[in-house]
Amino acid sequence: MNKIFYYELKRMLLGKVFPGMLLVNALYAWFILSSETIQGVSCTAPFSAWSYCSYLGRTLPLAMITVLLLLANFYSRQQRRVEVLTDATPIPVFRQIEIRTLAAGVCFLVIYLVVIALALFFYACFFRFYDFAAFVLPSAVILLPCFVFFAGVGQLLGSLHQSLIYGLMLLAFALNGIPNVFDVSGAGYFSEYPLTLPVGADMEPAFTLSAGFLAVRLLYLALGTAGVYLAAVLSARKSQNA
Amino acid sequence: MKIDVKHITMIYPSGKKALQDVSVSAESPSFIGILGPNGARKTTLMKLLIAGLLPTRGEILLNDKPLLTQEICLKSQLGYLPQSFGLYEELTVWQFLDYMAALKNIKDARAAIHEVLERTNMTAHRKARIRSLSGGQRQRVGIAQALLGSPRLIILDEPTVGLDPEERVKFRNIFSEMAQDKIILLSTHIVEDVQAVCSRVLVIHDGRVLFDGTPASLIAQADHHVGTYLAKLGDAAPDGCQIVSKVHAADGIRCRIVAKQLPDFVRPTDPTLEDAYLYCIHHSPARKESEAL
Repeated sequence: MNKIFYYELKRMLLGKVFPGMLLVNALYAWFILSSETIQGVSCTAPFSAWSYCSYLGRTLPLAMITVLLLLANFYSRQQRRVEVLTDATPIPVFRQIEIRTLAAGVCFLVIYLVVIALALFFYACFFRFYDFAAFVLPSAVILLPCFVFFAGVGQLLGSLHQSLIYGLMLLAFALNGIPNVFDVSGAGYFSEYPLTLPVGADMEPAFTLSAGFLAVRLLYLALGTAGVYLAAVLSARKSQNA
Repeated sequence: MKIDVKHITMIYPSGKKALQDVSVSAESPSFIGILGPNGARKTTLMKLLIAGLLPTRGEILLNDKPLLTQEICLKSQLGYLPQSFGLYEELTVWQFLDYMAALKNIKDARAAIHEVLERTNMTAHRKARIRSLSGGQRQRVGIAQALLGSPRLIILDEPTVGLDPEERVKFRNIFSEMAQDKIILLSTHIVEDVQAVCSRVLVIHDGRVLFDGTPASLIAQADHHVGTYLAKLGDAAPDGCQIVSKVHAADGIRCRIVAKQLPDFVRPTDPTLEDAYLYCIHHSPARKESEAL
């Protein structure tokens, strides 16, 4: 399995899409940092967990588009032509989808290593802020459900028709910034929710996430996981009807 | 290894009948050539055999067990080369074969890749990116991936397309060597390839098996149905005859024909497998029976 994963990852990382999109993601992240995050969100400091989470949320749609572009390749005509060979091997379709989801996850991780590194550099350089430990958990809560949701639903739609993945890319933008718990990227939530909280001794609301927001994150995780399973079922059926 | 195809009928969702009551059995070692015109449904039969399609009626047994319950077992012993396929352009030949070896769960991938590269004469190109290969070289990569791990069942759909005559002969000899302990199914339009290496021939037409037997018995069916005559330029073919070849000579055009009943002016000659195939397709009793149904 390691070797299959290695080749899928290599094809993604060194393909036409990823290197260019990584650069675009990095430039966009820096633009968000220098134009929006620097002002802080909801009257909090630029280096508050709220501002940091809002920054991650603002960068997510572009990262999701990158992931969806990578996954769209797996539903292209060229890929279908290779699948006539790979479908005749004993590896189950579900395992193939699982491996490519993991490979897309690593690409997503690489993007966020760059995006987060830029944020840390930005905080260190401009604000002499180094207390990054507080950002670890919020990062996971924001990034993981969003990735799983788009990767799962993306593959489910891709197994129906490749063009539907492009439709989901539009949805990645449309779902961005909805000012409630359903905001998949969380950008809107993190700029609105702190305003509803009491201000603490440091003149900022303490960083807490509402139960509703956490429940919706779990829902996105579940939907994405179900999407992966359904994509496997549909792909297996499709290959037998080809 | 043993495969039994029992009374398979395949009807596509559009209602189009692809295969009708096809029954075939094969046990290793055997090298079976599948002949048939375009649209005869040779590829459909092959897809059914690799569990790539589900039959509408009938069943396929692998070692006396239903194929659907043996899919993983089948695929772990299968080498498949479809008529049309794609390769990952960005990978090198070695990397692609290494990837396929991983998918096939081959333990000693390195040795297996070396072996197929040698066999397909691609060792010198092992580091070349697939996007830089010619059509014939891609076809050789396709053959190489089918032979990876020395599978016990090899299904080849038009494997020698795009290869030059010398390579074609070389490959058919490789397939012949490999058939010693395997089942090899070779679908081709090139009758010569079948004649050279296959111990058994299936002739398929309109989704029905018209003939299943040795090449010699197929040829025997065409005895007294093949002949030659000298024609003049512009002469039409005699009624009910299929012209196999026309050779322009000093005294006219020497025509070779296949017919149910040879006209009086035609001199009978010994049939070749190609003649026999044409006779089977156009005049065999099985063809008439299938048309009557």
